[in-house]
Amino acid sequence: MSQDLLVPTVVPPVVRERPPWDISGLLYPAAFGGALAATVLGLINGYRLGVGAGRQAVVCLAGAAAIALRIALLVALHGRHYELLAALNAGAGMFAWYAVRRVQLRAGRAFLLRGGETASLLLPGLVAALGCGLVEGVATLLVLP
Amino acid sequence: MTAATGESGVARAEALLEVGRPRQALAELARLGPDTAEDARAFRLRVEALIALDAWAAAARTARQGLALHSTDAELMGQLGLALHALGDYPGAERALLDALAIDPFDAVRRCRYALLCMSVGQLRKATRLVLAAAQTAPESAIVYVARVQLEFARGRDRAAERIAAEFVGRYPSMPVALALYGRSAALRGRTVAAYQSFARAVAEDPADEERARVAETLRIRAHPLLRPLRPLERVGPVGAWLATVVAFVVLRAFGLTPLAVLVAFVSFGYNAYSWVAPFLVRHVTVPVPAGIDRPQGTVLPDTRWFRVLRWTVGIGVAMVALCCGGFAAVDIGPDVRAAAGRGTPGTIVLTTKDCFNGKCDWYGDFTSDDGRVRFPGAAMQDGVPAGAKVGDRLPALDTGARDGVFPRTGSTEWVYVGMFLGLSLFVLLGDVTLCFLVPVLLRRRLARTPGWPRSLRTSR
Repeated sequence: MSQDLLVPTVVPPVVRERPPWDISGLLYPAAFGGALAATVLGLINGYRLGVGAGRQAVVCLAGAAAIALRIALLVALHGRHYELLAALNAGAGMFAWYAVRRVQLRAGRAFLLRGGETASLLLPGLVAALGCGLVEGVATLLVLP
Repeated sequence: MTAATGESGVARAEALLEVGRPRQALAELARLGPDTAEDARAFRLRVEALIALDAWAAAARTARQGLALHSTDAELMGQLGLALHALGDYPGAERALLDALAIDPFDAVRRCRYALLCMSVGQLRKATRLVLAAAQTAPESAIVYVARVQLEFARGRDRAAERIAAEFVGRYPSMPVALALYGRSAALRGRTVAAYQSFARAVAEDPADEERARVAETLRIRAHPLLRPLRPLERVGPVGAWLATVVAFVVLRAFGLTPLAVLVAFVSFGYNAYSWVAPFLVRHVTVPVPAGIDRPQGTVLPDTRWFRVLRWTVGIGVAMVALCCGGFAAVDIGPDVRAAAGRGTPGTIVLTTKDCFNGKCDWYGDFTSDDGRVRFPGAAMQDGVPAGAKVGDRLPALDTGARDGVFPRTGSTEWVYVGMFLGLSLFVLLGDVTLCFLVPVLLRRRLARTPGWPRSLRTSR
């Protein structure tokens, strides 16, 4: 066995006061609330999992890109095709969620392997989906011609 | 009772541990004579028994006591590492495991334990190399299978984890750890029934493991009838379901089947909302059935004061909203259907106002029937106006008795949307009444006929 495997490398994991949420479960507030909800919840979850600043920045950038893409598409459609609004909102949310999942999945699995129990997402998810969905909706209306 | 001495006592303790009786093994070891009691093997068995009882702190303490007397015992070091890992002392666990590996670097068990430690702190590259090294030494060893499954789980590769877990079960068909790992992998892949069956077998093999029993119970709840509609979603995954909805929506619209596309979107939205809320509801509105009582329906609703208040508040609130929405739709559906059939009072509308918001425009005007008997000032032109229309234009229209407007004589598709809204309102009302009022009453009646059911649950209101 390589000698470098016998060098101590383990660093105690970051332990926060509140446990993280199930990353798969973040999909629901993301799909219903949009990219802003996914990004906000993703950032809070990243803090609770103790992921680094670089990875948090990736979540931020992905969320911002999803919101920008959604608004750009709405502007390009000149506000028509209202039936696509919900699909577009959900799509942007799911894109942001996918970024969160890519960045946090391993940290989340490590948390589970340490025997951790995830927190309930129902209430925070509802609040984020409604609150962030409202904020994003108002912002979209202000941006649209 | 005579004190067990020498090798026979240790052998009995070992045999007891092999048949899964750690308490008796500890009792046997406690009766050993002073010479044998401080033997390295006795310490190892003592620690193993404590680990089997999940007494991790005592296991670590005993391992340290043993190491004080037998400082080069690699197995005791490995056991100390395992106990410290379980206690959350990760650097301490690493020190102990590395000390053990320094004595015997080719031991597959300790390599895998170290790999599992690395996985739990997110060091997957090192864990991968350790598992590969262990697999070269003992590829069929149970702990190597465990480490391989956990490694794929830590990487987020659930399909690979399930495949390796299936191999593990094939190699060790009655090992509870193998069954539990397969159950977890199957659950992550959305195969609830297979997961439950595997965990149930694991519990049957080792009924003393409370954690596995708890997971088996959770999976049994996931097999609840209310969650049965969600199985296709579990198999396909939420992302797949969403993509399928979008594709169906776009294709239907491309073929001009807009009402059907809207229906698909409505159903998909409701299904996804249900998939979010239903597991929470099932988990929190069911209570375990007391032991020794035949369960009338698997689970029952709790009957606490707060739950009754919640049930009535939600029940009445949702019913009122659904009734209001359904009422409006019911008022509109008649005129909308008449407009679609081209029945009504023919006349002409003179466009007077164009009201635009966010790119979408509504038109209003003064309607007068052809015979001059009906006048409807400020009527909204339902279904819009022809392209290029402007204020002052006179358009043929049909008054069907709608409360807020008239329709084009060419027909209208408004009834599709209003009809769907009416159907959705009725569906919500029906679901609300069933879940909040009907199910509790039916359950209470059924419980009242169940012999041995606690009286408080049978009669409380």
